[in-house]
Amino acid sequence: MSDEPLLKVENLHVHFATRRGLLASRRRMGQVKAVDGVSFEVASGEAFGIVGESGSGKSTIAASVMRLLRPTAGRILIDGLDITHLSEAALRPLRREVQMVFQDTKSSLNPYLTVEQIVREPLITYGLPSDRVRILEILARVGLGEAHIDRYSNQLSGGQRQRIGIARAIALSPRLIVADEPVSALDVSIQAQILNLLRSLRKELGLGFVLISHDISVVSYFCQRVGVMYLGRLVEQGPTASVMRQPSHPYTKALISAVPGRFGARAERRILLRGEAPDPISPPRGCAFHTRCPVKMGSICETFPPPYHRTAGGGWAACHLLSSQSQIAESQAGKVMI
Amino acid sequence: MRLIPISAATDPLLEVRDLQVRIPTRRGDLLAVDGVDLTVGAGEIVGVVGESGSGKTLTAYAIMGLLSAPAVISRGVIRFRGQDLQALAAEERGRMRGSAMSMVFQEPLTALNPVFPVGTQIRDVIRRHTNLSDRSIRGRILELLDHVGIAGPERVAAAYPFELSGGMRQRILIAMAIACGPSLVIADEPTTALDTTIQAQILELLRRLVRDDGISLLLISHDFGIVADLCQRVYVMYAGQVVEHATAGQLFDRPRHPYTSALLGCMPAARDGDAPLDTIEGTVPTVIDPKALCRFADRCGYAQARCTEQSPPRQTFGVVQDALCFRAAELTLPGLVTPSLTDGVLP
Ligand SMILES: Nc1ncnc2c1ncn2[C@@H]1O[C@H](COP(=O)(O)OP(=O)(O)OP(=O)(O)O)[C@@H](O)[C@H]1O
Ligand SMILES: Nc1ncnc2c1ncn2[C@@H]1O[C@H](COP(=O)(O)OP(=O)(O)OP(=O)(O)O)[C@@H](O)[C@H]1O
Ligand SMILES: [Mg+2]
Ligand SMILES: [Mg+2]
Repeated sequence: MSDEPLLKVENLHVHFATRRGLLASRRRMGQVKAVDGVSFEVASGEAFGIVGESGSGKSTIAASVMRLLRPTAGRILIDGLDITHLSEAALRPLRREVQMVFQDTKSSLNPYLTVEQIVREPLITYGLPSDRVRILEILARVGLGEAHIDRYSNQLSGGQRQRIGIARAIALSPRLIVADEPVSALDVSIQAQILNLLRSLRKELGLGFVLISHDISVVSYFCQRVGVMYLGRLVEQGPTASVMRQPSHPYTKALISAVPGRFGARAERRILLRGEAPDPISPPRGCAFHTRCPVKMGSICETFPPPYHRTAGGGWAACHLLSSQSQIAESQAGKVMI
Repeated sequence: MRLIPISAATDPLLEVRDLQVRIPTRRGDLLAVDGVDLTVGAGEIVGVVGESGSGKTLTAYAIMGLLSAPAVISRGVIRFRGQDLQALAAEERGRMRGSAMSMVFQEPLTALNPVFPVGTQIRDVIRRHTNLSDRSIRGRILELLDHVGIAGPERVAAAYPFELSGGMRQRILIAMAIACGPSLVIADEPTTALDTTIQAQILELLRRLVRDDGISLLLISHDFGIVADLCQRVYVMYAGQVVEHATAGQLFDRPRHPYTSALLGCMPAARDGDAPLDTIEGTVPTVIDPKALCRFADRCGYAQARCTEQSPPRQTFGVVQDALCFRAAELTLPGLVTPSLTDGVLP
């Protein structure tokens, strides 16, 4: 096997064509740059976290990595193999390697199937052994057993349903799991069970993870590295511990200081952003964050896209404020590792 | 900043005693709220935390007089400014709701009517409770929208709910709740669906309403972080009961109920990635035939024989704190382990 990373996302762009506003004429087509030049890498046994405002493009990245949609530009590589433009048939063997866990297990589990049938489905698709013993083995990995195997999903608790979603994802022994808000709908006690389970899959089976969450404490617990999205772009990336302790980008600072409770900054040190994230159909020129940035310098921020800078913690951030000595080429930004 | 007394022992604005809410089901009567005591003093922010299904929303509905059949209040007293609310005629109660006390609901989308502009919906609330002229009402709406931090109130008043973001809709609901100058606002998970940065804005808004307008706030949340941030006192609910009552500081530093301590151990913020999180096995029970036992006993790491044989006593500690547990006095339970998250170099 090569020394290529398990997953490499290179300068990913995903643009959607939309009508501008509800009443606008069909002629005036707008374009949502849902993902606008995103790069990152994930190694085996590593979890990369993605945080950021609603609508910033997190789920679109997940869908691209899963090749549920075809990127507008850029590349996605699994073990060095470019899958960006592979046909569905060519993707088939790869689909085993990359699996997804969703937030909404209620709608992602078929209510007419038993737990046994749900977990068996992917095994049958790939012609793998799928007897009851094998299913029980898989269920055991997620902490379920005989007592659950014959139930329908509506006879399970929220945490148990999420375990089934994970059992289904690991049934094919994937190497990468893309988890989009996997614990957001769960109570903290159940959330802890699921995070412990995902953690053991990462540590014991060496799975790689892309974990998307709006909950910073989840990402900082689970992920070794983190990327911060704002309006379709990563604005900062680096080792989780250093990004959390010493954020460099003004948006990252505001985001972390906004986490409520003792775990965030005390109320008087909180950075309150004005307004809400702009409409991605017409993102601001220059730095996309300048309309809400508490430390905006002036016309430079409104005019020029910010350069990438190396941060003290070994990551990078894209902001005009950072010293020019640390500036790096954009093409390098995806590659800066720990 | 104004200092607010921690415990309004003398004359609380809201006083709930031994509240029980009963819901008849096929399997028997469900005691969704069972013996809840709770007070909110003037100018106080009081929190109610607990896992899903613990009875938080039904407690709020009972206080507001909004329980819908088959749920009924089967026991207990609710006093507002000393007045027994259940003794009031339905009409009187309705007048009070929206003017003296109001609620911000858990689901902002369903709480707004999709087919009317939001300004119209605020107008209706004001009309119901005042005799203001249409002109003064219009002025009042714009003033309210401005007060809850909406830029361009004219435009937003004319907008339909679907045209607004989640954060804006939540501001509209807060504007409606404070439209007629209530002294008590109950906010049920007011920021659950919102982004972290927008959540911080809304929490700041609520804090400001309490500080500047003298409103009292009963804040319901499943998020300990929010409660730690905003509340002076906190009630922890489990299976329809208040299992612990404490100041926010006591709750995190020195919890007295094993359930509170266990929940704190589940929080990802309490650990770094090298250690697994604590978990609580099992699920919150549904209480149909209440037995004399501790409802948390089968999930409790500290349970003893007596915990499943008798109802636990409520033990008190100092002026505020109490816990519904046999062992509350003897145990030293871990609070929130010093979080590793953001104690570093924040601006
Ligand atoms: N199929 C689509 N057609 C048009 N626009 C889309 C489509 N999918 C997503 N978008 C838009 O792309 C942007 C990014 O959406 P995405 O779902 O990736 O955000 P997100 O970061 O996952 O947000 P959330 O935290 O709310 O889940 C949004 O503006 C969204 O409206
Ligand atoms: N109309 C109803 N019929 C039957 N059971 C009900 C009804 N309304 C609520 N319940 C039950 O009463 C209990 C308490 O519900 P409540 O809505 O107060 O919980 P909660 O603490 O607000 O939970 P969440 O955090 O999920 O909002 C739950 O077990 C719920 O299933
Ligand atoms: Mg998403
Ligand atoms: Mg509720």
